[in-house]
Amino acid sequence: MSWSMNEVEVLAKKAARGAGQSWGLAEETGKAVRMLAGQGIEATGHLATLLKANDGVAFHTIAPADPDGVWSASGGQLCPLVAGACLSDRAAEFGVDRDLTLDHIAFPVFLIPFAQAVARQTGRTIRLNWADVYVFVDGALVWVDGNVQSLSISVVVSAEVSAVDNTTGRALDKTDRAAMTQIAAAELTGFAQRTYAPATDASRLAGAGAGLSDND
Amino acid sequence: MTPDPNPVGVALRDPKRVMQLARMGSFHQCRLSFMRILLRRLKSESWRFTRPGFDINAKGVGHAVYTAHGPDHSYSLVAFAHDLPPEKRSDRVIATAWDATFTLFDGVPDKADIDRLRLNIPKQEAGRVTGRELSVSRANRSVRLFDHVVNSLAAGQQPDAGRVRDVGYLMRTTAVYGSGKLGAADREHTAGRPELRAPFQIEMLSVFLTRAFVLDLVEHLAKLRAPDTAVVLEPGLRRSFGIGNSTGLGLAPFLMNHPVLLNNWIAAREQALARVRSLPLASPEDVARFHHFVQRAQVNAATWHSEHPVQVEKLTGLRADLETLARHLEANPPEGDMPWNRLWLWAEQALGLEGQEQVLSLLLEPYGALVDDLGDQMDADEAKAFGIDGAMNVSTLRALSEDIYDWALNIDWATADAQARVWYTSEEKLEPRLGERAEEPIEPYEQPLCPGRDAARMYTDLQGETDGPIAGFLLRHPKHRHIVRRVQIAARYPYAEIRDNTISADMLPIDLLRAKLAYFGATHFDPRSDRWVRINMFRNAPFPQDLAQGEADDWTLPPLKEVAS
Repeated sequence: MSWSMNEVEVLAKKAARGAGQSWGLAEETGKAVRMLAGQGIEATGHLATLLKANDGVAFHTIAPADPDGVWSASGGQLCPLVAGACLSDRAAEFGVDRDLTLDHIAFPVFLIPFAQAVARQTGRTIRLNWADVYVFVDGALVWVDGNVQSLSISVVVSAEVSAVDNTTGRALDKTDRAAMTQIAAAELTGFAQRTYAPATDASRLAGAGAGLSDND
Repeated sequence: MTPDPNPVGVALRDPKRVMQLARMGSFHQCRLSFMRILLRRLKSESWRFTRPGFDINAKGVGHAVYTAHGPDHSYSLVAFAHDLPPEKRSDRVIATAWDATFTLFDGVPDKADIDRLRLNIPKQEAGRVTGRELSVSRANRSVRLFDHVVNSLAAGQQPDAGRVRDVGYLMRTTAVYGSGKLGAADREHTAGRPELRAPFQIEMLSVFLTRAFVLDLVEHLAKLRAPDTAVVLEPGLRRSFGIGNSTGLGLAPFLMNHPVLLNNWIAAREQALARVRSLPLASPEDVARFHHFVQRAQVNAATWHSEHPVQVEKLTGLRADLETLARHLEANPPEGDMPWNRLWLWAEQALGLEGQEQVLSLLLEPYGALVDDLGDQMDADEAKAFGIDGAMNVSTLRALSEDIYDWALNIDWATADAQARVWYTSEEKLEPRLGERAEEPIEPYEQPLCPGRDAARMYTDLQGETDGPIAGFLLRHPKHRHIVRRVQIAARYPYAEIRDNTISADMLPIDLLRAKLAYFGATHFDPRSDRWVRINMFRNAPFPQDLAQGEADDWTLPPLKEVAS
């Protein structure tokens, strides 16, 4: 079964909100998953795993404690969506040379969409590196050099982000249909359900448009 | 943050004035409405229309295919007609069966496509579609009118004109889904095609073809029932049927969820108004045309019915305003220097909101050559505006909040009325609803649809922040990301934000619905409650086969020979 980009984005957004993210961050999570899907990177399963791990966890324990230094979380593991948002908020710092180290971060693949936003804002090419893979974003494309499998790593000891002048490797092909496993869909739907209010007879009658009969 | 003035000097209206719910709830269709943009294009590009399939039995069950062939692409409405038991008929999102279900297919479907669609389209949200499907929709019959029309035609008679006028449609759509919903193609997939760049062209084309199908259907059923005596509809009466729509809360959040798009819609219309107001003079022909449209607007107001007290009052006001306008024009014919600007400035003082917004639409009517190109500016690259600028200074964010959300900062959000409502989604078929905060346990499920209150909360947390990039503020207050993004969007796109409390006790969701529906090109807004409205689409419009020979854009106001009885 193929999914539209819109479906994947909306599901990811609602799931992120259901798992406790603010609406603003949840919107960015939805866009991040959509962007990755558009590059053929299926991140919905990773999102489900990440949301389960951070379900109910306080924001400041998975956020960079000191954004001016090495980024690490007081709880021991950075959330890549929180770190990614923090990264794009500080895009201007990458207009000039800035090397950023992120210490103990889950699913670093989620940094890619936020780094792309930095690239667009600054006009620089941004290089991300963890384990044995390098990812370059130049505002339009995503380039991968090294071990593509390492894009799926669930946690790395450190990831590096810097502004560079060149790309290496191969640009990923874009796609306009999204892939998502049934398991990931079910898990994300489970989180998304938390954003829906339980139905009651009263809400059914009063809450929406027509009453129970609207024949004309 | 005033918008740039029009190059010839008349400024665009201030967003603080335009983006009020009461005014938005008084918008009328105009030249820049999406249905009209569509029909002008279908005619100017000489689109061809074919009907590759029509297989419906005497019980009204079967399928049909209507194809629109444009210069580069073809689009096919695939319609499935059903035998719906009356007790199952409902316009609500929670319905599970309908009189007719539809999809707009990208191209011309083959038998395998139709077989696949037959398994899925009748199920609507319970089915799946692919990237070859551009929209999915459904419609229910008007119980008052459908059988009457079939029976009359079968007996060799035209249906009763009064009943037709009262209802205005044989079927009404209850939802039209596009943009990737249910697995359909994302808007981005086709937005590059010139014919689909303007907003909602897929959905409008789908409804236009649906109307053709519905009219063919009643004539077909009459003929099957009584082959020897059945007649077809008289052409003028046939055109007077539109497609109804039952619009509820699902549509209301759209304007708040798409701020850049909303800005571009509003800005295009405001730009059009400014262009007409800036004209140095008006030719006698243009003045005569304007008079003509004013008279047709009077007929429109006279034949526009509703029983809802809010709308009854608005219609009384509109009729009085049009009478005032007609008398003013008689005493002050538009002549001399910048006559339309003088008329407009008078209208702003002398008329109510319905009257003012009606005059806006009327001013554009004679000037298609001057304003129609603004339709090209009504789409939006929302992705471009999405990113938060974390380098913005705290002092700038504070100043923007004080400018754009001044009205919100002056509301006492602690009062019960100020936050009386909660927008939420019910787990029951994911139906959008509006509840009462104090009466139901729905606050934990609140959707981000109150920018005013959220801006006030953010502004409070901004107090005491030292100046510097807001990135630090956002890290310490992540819950404000959503509203900070909105403030930054509204700073660049002046009409992006509704300057009104969208969760107050007296907020009328129908104001939001009407604003969007006016842009669609809908007419005859008939609220059935404060959150549900019936409308008519393409009433009096030509049919596909009429476009080549006749007018494509002269149907949104009644012709003068139609007189209310």
